[in-house]
Amino acid sequence: MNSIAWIDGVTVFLGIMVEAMPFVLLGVIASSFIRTYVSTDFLLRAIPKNPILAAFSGSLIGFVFPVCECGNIPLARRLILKKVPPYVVITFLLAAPVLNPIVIAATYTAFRDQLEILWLRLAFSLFVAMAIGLIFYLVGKPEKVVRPNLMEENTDHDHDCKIQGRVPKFLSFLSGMRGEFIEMTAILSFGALIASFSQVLVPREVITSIGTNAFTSILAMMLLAAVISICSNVDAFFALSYVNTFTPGAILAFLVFGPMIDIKAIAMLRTTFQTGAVFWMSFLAFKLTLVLTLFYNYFLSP
Amino acid sequence: MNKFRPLIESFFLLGVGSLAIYYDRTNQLGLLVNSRYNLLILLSSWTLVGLGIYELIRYLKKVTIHVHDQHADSWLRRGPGYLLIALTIGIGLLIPPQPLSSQTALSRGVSVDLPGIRSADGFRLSISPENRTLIDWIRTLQTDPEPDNHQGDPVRLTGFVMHAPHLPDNHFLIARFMISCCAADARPVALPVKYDPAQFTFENDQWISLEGQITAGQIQDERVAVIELTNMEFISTPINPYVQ
Repeated sequence: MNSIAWIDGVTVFLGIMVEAMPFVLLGVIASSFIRTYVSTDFLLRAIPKNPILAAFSGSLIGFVFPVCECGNIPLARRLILKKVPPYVVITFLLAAPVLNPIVIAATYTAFRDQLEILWLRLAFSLFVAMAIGLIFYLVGKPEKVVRPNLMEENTDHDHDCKIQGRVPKFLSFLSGMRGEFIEMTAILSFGALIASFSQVLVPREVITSIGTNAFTSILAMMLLAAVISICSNVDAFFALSYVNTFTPGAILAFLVFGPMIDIKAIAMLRTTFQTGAVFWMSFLAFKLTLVLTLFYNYFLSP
Repeated sequence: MNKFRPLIESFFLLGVGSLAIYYDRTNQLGLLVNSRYNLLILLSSWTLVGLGIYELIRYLKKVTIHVHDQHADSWLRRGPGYLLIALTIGIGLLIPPQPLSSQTALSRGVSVDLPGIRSADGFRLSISPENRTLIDWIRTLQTDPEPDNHQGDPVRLTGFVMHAPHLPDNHFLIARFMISCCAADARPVALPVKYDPAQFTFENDQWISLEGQITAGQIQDERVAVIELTNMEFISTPINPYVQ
C-alpha cells in the first residue's frame, strides 16, 4: 500500500477528529451538568400511567437529559432507584442516545445534504425503543429484568449530586468534564482510525461487494456498530466516511443500532439488568433495526 | 500513574484543543472540514484549551475537588486510551494533511453527475459559460447532456488532473472533491478533457487552470460533451481545494 493512500487516510482521520470535537465537548458539558445539577425528581411526576404514553415519554427523556450510552446507565440507575417502572427506563436507555439535541445537531452536521438520514435515524430509533419497551411491559416479568441487588449495590453516583454551595458545585461541574472528555476522545480516536484506514487497507472490490449489497451492507455496519463502541454524539462522523461506499440502509443501521447496543453498552447494562433481559434487548434491537433498514433499502431508498 | 493522571489528562486537553487552532493558523483547516464549521470548531478548541489550563493550574496548586468520576477505572483512562489520544495529537502535529489524491478519487468512484441534486436549476443555467465553475458545468450537462447544444461554449475551470482508465488516450479528467461535512465524505466530481499530447503533458494530482471549449466526444461508446483544451497553466494547490 503506497504512501499516498496513507496520507489520504491521515487527512480523513484528522477531518473526523476535528469535525467531531465540538460535539464531544457538547456531550461532555451536558453530561457533567446533568450529573452535578440536575435532580431526577421532577421526572417521576411527569411519567403518564398509560403504558404507550409512558414508553413514548421515556423515549423523550433524552431531550431533557442529553446523554449518550456512557451516561444513560448511571441515569437509568437513578431512575430505577426512584421507582420508575423498568420498561420506561428501558425505553429511555435505548432512545436517549439518539433522541437528544446534541445527537440531532451532530447528525445534521454530518448529513446535511442527505437529511432523510437524520429523520429516519430519529424515527427508527423511536420506533425500536418504544417497541422494545412495550414488549417488556407486556411480556417481561419484573423480577427477571432488574438485578435484584441494585438496592444494596448502588453507590454515591447513583443518586443526585449532594454537593452544596454554588462555587463547589460549579467547580465539580468543570472538573468532571476532564475525565469524560478523555474517555470520549480516546474511543473517538479508535473509531476514527478504523473509519479512515479500513478503507485504505481493505481492497476496494471487497468493500464494494459488501457495501452495495442491500443485505450484507446492513449486517456489516451493524457488526461494526456493535464492536466499535463509539459515542452517539460523534458516531455520525464515523458513519459519514462510509457514505460513498455503503447503502443508506446500512448507514442508518449503524446509526440506529450502535447507540443502543455495543460491547461497552452491554457491559454497562449488565451492571443494572439481568443477563436475560440484556440478551433480549440486544436481540430485539438487532432484529427490529435489521427489518426496518432492509425495508428501507429495498423499497424506499432513492 | 494515578498520581500523574490529572497532569497527563490536562496536557491531552491542551493538545487536542490546540490541533484545530494550529490548522487554522497554518491555513490547513480547509483541507479537513467544510469552512462553514470553522467558527464552531475554533470556539470549542479554545474552550478545550481553557479547560486544560484550568485543570493544569488546579493540579499544580494541588486543589482537590469532589468529582463524580464514575469511570475512573476504565481502560480508556489508562495506557491504551492515553496511547490513542497521544497518537492523535502526534499524527495531527507531525503529519500534515494533504488534499485528497486522485487515487482516493478513483477508489471512491468519480462521478460526472451530481446525484440527489436538483438538476433543473434555472439560476445556474443562466450563468454565462465562461463563468461557470466545475459544479455549474456538471449541473448544466446533467440537465442537457446533448453535446451539440453546447458546441463551442467557452470553458474556464480549475481543478486537479486525474487519469482514469476508462478514458481514451489524450483524455484526462479535470476533477475536484465535493465535501458536505469533512474529508470523510469527500466525493470526486469531474469532467473529461481532450488534449493534444504534443502540446501538453499531465501528471495526476497536478492543479491546473484551463481554458477550452465544449465539443462532442466518445467515451466508452457514449456520445458525451468533452472539453477541448486550448490553454492551461499550472497553479498552486488552493487553500480550500474542496467545493461545497
